[in-house]
Amino acid sequence: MAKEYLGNLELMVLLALLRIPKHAYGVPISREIAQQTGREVAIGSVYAALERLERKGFVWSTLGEPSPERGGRAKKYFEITGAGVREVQDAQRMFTSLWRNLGPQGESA
Amino acid sequence: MRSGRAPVVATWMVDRFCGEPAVAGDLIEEHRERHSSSWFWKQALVAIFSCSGSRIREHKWLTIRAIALGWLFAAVVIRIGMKEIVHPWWDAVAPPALYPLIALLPWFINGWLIGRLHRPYSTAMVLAYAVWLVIRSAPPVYEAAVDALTGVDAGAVVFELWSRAISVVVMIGGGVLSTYSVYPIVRRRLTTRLRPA
Repeated sequence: MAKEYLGNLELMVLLALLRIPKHAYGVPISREIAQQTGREVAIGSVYAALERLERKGFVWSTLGEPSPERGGRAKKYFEITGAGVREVQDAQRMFTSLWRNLGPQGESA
Repeated sequence: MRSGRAPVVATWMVDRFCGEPAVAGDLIEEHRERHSSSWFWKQALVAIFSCSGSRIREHKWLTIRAIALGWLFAAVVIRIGMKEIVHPWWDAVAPPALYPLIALLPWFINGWLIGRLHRPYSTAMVLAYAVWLVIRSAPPVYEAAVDALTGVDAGAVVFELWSRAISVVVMIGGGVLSTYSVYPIVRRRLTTRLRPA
């Protein structure tokens, strides 16, 4: 089976999960991405990415307790798996290799 | 902190179309803390299209099957059954003005059928068929618009747009209702009836 590469948003979500030590769910993940990248990401898009990552085995989830301030809905906590961490490291290696020997403006040296 | 309640319809739509209560929960939490109703609606629509789009991309064959089923049902039941058989019969026995209401029933059944046969991706498949219907509506709406602009039939474009839009909305309604299960209601009634006094 061909290797599935991570999309931009998927990689950002995995990195946000690494930055949030525990109890990561949609709201803090989307805030972390906005804070670090300056890009507002819709919560729905974060969940769509998390759903894909969970299917690929890069994250796993657990349900919290329902709370009244969330309209009686439980939080869904996400954690990165070992395969997810390896995927992020692979992506980093790949980008570093592609950046190597390029000037600050992206011109080839 | 904002005290306003999150828009009920938008919350219901996110619950139905995403099938994941945590998404609406997160939106409600954010809305209470710092956002407006327009922000909530925007986020709800993005969530609906993100969830459905992701499922459509993941299940391409199921999407093709859903569209094919919808197309077949529309061709047999709506284009042949309703137009050739029911419409002439209806005009003979009942007020013709009521026919548009009856004509919407097969669209509702079409959506319900697509939703029922494509669980657990019902709403995504129904939305995929809705998009297909919108795309297929483009040529007749364009022709009607040309007729209206050239003065042949000014009202045609309004009729085309209205009738097609209402069919799509009713079809989506049928699809969304198909995600409700009747079993919890039946079970609750039976439990109430069988409970000792």
